[in-house]
Amino acid sequence: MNIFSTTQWIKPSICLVTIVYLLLPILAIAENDRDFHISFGAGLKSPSDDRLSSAPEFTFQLASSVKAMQVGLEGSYQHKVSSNYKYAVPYNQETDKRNLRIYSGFLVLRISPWHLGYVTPYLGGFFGGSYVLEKSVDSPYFEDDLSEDKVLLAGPTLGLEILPNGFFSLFLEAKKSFQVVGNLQRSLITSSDQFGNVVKTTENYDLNAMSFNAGFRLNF
Amino acid sequence: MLNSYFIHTLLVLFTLSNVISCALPEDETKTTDIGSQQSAINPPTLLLKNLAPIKLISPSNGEAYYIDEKEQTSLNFKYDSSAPIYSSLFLFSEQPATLDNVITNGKETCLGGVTNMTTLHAGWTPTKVELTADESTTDFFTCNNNSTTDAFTVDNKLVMDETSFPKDSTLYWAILGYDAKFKLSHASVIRKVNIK
Repeated sequence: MNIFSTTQWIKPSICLVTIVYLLLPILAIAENDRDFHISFGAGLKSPSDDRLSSAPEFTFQLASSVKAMQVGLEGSYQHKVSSNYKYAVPYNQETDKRNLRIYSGFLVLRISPWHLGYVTPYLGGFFGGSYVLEKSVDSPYFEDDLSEDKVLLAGPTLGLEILPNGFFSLFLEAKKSFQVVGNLQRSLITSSDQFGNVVKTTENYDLNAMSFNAGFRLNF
Repeated sequence: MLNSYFIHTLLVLFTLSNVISCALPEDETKTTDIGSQQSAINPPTLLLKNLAPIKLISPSNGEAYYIDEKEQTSLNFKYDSSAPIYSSLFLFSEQPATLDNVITNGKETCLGGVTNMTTLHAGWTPTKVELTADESTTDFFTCNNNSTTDAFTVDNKLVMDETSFPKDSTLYWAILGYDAKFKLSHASVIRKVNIK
């Protein structure tokens, strides 16, 4: 049994994140210091793998506060990460135009140790998984060539909340994602000939990335 | 306060649904069948199945070519080239063997051909391709055994002589068509020419 198999880790991780989050309101009620927020953000996520392009990312977050600590669930969607590649065809070279759509879910932890009036800096971390879909841009052929499409990620977060005491606040956030378990694995065409032979190879991609987001929060 | 209870209830319901989904089995069905994505036109006599047809005009199947006769100086291949974006005319020394829309003995049996996939084969008319005994007039090129992608050379002409086409041998010819991404899209039937 391969303990690093992504598919074996995905489900337990999602369940763990869910159970932890279920406990949060109970903790908050016990502390009698309960509040939570909903946030929406958008930004740019840049993968460290140079075969993948930067692409816009959209985030949605539900979080509860326990004193200076915030714990939440974040969902994100990264749109059209370009993953084009070239391969040899008879007498020419062809580009397989493709892009990835990355759906992610994370457990988010944040600490806001300082309150500086109109701004509150925070730092924290996240842990969760990403699921990747691949689309061919201009051809229906060879679609869905991902043999591994689930990855577990974790990393630190650094941010700033503006006007934190109101119902409506703004935030700026930087996140660094590290691939913890699994790889994105693709089957790529290396060449095709005139007799119909198509030669393929398998390559691993990593989803380590840096992202910068901005958005707003509704605080309840 | 009421708002807080309401939103917390929503959150609990959301997370409970997630817990339930954890208990459900995963759908692991995933297939990639390139063949099933291709055209449904499937005449049984085509060289490669499940591709659109290309109509061959001449020479007809089993036609004889008398290589010694001086008045017969060329062999003209005619076909309907209107369908595919790119096409290749192949001459084979044996009946081509196929498996899963691939000509498996293509390299070994290829005698020559011509294609419009490269501008280096320019100067021929797709509807009428001439194989002659003269390098300056023949449209055909020899096969390329050194390339993983190119079936034909771009600088060695194939001529009609007894070295390449011995007497009492059989020549097989067929057309394959390709789409804009150089993927096989069309095929003809295979035809024989008897060299006498």
